[in-house]
Amino acid sequence: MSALEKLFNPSTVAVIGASRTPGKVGYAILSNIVSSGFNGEVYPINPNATEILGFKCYPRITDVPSDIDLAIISIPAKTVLDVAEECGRKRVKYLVVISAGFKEVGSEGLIREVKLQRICRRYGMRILGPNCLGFIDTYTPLNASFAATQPLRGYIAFISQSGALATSILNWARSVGVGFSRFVTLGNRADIDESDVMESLRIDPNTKVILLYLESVSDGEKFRKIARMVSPVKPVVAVKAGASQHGAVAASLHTGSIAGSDSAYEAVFKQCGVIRARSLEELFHAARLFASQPIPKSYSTVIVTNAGGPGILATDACERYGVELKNIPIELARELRAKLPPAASLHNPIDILGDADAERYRITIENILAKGDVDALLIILTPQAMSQPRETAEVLAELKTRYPDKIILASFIGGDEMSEAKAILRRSGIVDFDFPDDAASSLSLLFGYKRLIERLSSIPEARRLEDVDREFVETLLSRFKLERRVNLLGYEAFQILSAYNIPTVSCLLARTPEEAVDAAESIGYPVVVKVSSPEILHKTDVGGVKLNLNSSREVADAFEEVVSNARRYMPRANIYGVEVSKMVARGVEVIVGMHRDPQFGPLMMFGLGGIYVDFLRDVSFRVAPLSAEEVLDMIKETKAYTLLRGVRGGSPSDIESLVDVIVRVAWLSTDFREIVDMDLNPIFVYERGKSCIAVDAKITLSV
Amino acid sequence: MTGCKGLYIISPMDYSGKTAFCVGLALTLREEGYRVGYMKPVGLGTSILEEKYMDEDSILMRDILGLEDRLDDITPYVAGDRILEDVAKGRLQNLCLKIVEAYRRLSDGKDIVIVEAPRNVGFNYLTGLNYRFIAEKLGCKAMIISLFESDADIGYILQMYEHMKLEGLQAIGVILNYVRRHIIERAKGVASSILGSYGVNVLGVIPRKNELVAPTVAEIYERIGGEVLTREDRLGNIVEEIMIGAMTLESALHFFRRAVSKAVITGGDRADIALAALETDTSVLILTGNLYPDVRVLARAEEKGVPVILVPYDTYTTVELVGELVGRIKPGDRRRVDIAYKLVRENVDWRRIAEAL
Repeated sequence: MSALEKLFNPSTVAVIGASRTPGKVGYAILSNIVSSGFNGEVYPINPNATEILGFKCYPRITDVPSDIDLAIISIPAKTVLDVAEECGRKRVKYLVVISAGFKEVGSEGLIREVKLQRICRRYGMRILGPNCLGFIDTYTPLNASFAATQPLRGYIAFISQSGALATSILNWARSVGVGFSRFVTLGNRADIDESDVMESLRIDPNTKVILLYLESVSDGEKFRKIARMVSPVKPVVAVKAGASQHGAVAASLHTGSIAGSDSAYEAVFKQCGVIRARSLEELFHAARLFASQPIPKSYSTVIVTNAGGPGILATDACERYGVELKNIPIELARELRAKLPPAASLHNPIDILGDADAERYRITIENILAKGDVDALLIILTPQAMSQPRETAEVLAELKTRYPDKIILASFIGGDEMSEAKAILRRSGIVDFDFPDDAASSLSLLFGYKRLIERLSSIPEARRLEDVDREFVETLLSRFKLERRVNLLGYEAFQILSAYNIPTVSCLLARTPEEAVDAAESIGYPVVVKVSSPEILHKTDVGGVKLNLNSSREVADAFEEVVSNARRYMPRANIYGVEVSKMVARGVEVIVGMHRDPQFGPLMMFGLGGIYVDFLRDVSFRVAPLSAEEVLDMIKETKAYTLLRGVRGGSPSDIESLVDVIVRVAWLSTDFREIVDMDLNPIFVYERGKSCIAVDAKITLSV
Repeated sequence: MTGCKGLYIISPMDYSGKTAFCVGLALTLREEGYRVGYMKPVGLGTSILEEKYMDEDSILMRDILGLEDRLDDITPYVAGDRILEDVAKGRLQNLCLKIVEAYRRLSDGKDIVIVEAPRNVGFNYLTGLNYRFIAEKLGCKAMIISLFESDADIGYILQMYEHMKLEGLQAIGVILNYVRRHIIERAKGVASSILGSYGVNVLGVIPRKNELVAPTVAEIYERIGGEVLTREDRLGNIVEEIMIGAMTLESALHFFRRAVSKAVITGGDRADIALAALETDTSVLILTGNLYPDVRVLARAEEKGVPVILVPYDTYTTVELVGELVGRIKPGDRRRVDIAYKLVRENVDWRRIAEAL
């Protein structure tokens, strides 16, 4: 039996707080259960009634004679704990807590929610909610919600963090003919969260595509694991609210904890094969597409049109969206040549001319499907004198049934004359678009999913590193913790990085000019002298850096200069002295950073370095740990990659060693949760074979 | 006079940690078998006891050492805000005599009496309590407690030392107090050797401990007032740093992570900032403008064990009020008394002090 099986497909359901009064939530739930056609046992619980909607009513759940799989609780929050306790004693398997008055109302509610969690854990009961709308499964069938609309049956599963949004979607979907397999609202997620539900849907035979509406994820690590497992089996499409700056503030407030950064969501979705929709419109557009079309096996598309212009426009759009148009094989071309008028164009797009009737469409498409080795067809029809929109639609419908594993999209361009044809298309599972552009973008979505999944399966798991000194880092970190120091000095950061075999410049702390000279002598000239203070983030800005020093005299002078500069600019900073490091040759400047995201953990950043960093924003993100393959993808996403490969005769850089550095930083961040921020800026990358080196580093710890 | 020795503790600057040092030294010496007394001839009216201004340090030391002396003897004169008027009206004329008599009573049956100077050296001259008086009338030797934050501080120590010598007060040495970690080596090295070359013995270098110096949330609350909205049980948290929350949510986390045990001061309507602060090591959240926060902020603070104080002031005023606060050992503060004791025990050559008397 799979996870949550008896939640979505129970044999016995109790409704605690069932009501006789229409308009009350406790009435709506019971009446929804009845009208959804649920064929298990139903037990209303209400001490003040003997019978509701024809069911015998029990005063308490403990009075019900049979076992209960699912209890839906809709009573005032204050009484929920006692009732949950009773449910526990009755060995109920699942609770859906509709009642509000928990975490969302503040401290008192939070305490209540924690107590509810404890009760359920003690009895091994799982909870959906509290503060949710309930759920609907159209195949069980069971509507265990108080939503006013009964959804149509379909192949789309929808998981929503917002109850209010869910009711609107249900209402809208019914009006446009979109059906659902399962519809789940999560509420406060005291126990069951989006990942649990997603996991249950992986093997649900009635679900072809999973939609998520999220303001946050409840457990980042769990989400990553499960999404990565589910997405290759069926597409997962998510809308993440709070992507903008103000939106993030609103989302943080709504959920009561700080939202993870949008870059982290973007990265996690990418790494787990989750398709991100930017709006509800995009979400449902993708849903309809995935629910009706098969997943392509290759990347070949053929356009068939009865008009040159729209065909060319469609071709442009395909290229724009990265959809490959297939070259027509000679064999097929020959075949078509024999059957089509001589003026027809047999290049892709195939133009079967303005006088094409339904039969000509049939001959062409049939041949392509039978011999063309294609995955997707985009059929364009414009209304001309000989056109037969209705009949052509019927031809497509028939072919769709014969070739269910082919993608057939249509764009019948026109108004009134097309409406009948469009209705036929829609009924037969062919997605129809007003204009070919949208069809091309939809194709890119289908192929994009395929590409994503293929890429995922080719990426190996990140493997633990053997040649690192974890113990040494542990010792250092525990010392800093003891001293309650969170902002490490540069040379301390280097010590940590070196323990993970990350190449860094040799660097020593000097507290006096004499020590600085000694350090320089032991490192070897030329050297760099930088002021050493955990409070000074931008050393250059306070005149705290002297480059290319070649003698003891220069080093001693530099000591005095940078320390007094730093004192003048930042009188309150604690200045430890200076750090003396080897002056190394410049390479391509890049940055590697890590910011511990509150939801997903170590978010790695890679980007082009140098002084233009802040406005070029040429950066990419991934959540650690990372395999070398993922790191390479990450680098390839940036323009820095082009630079590293060598532009205009420049020789290629040692990308391999850079990849290795990023893999190691990712592991360092994974292994030590107390490292919350890290910045290797800049790293100089040298010519291929000559490695790379971190020239400056900052590390922030948590206590 | 009996065989009792007096040790006059004086500092060239404000807030140098004299009282904490006196606490630590007194406890250390007592543990070593000395009978230790305490006097602070000129006190500061920081609290009111039995309708009279009282010096809290006197109460503290009397508690700690279990002294049975009258507070009037321990501190014969408590200065209010208007010491100049007291001097002008001749109210301090008999003070020196009163001090000598009180000292005689206090030192009876004691081996060592620690005599703490009020605030900084200038105060003493206003009350007539000059070095010559300390040396001749009380028979004390002196010890200088000084901060070491800049090189100029060493100059102040030398100046004070030379001045004492001129007036016949023998200083047995100096303690460099609350020295920050990164200059400890300098304090023990170049600073000590320069002082030594002038004949000033460095008898201890005490590192700065935030647990001792930093104020607690309760102390901040006492200063700024307002309303504690949650976690009143955590007012004992110490505040090592103050941060103002006025940035975007995106950069807030990055910023807040750079400080520990901090007070975050932000507008009551900046729930996003408050939530970010609560993700990091925060000792107290101070919400300004009397803007009552979102319930979710309070729930999160409660969950994280962070007290939230709502104040009527704007953010700038609040920062001004909180910014200058330093932690003080008050009567009953066992935690800080223990820290002060350990710091002296571990970092001060108390044996040499006892011998030098």
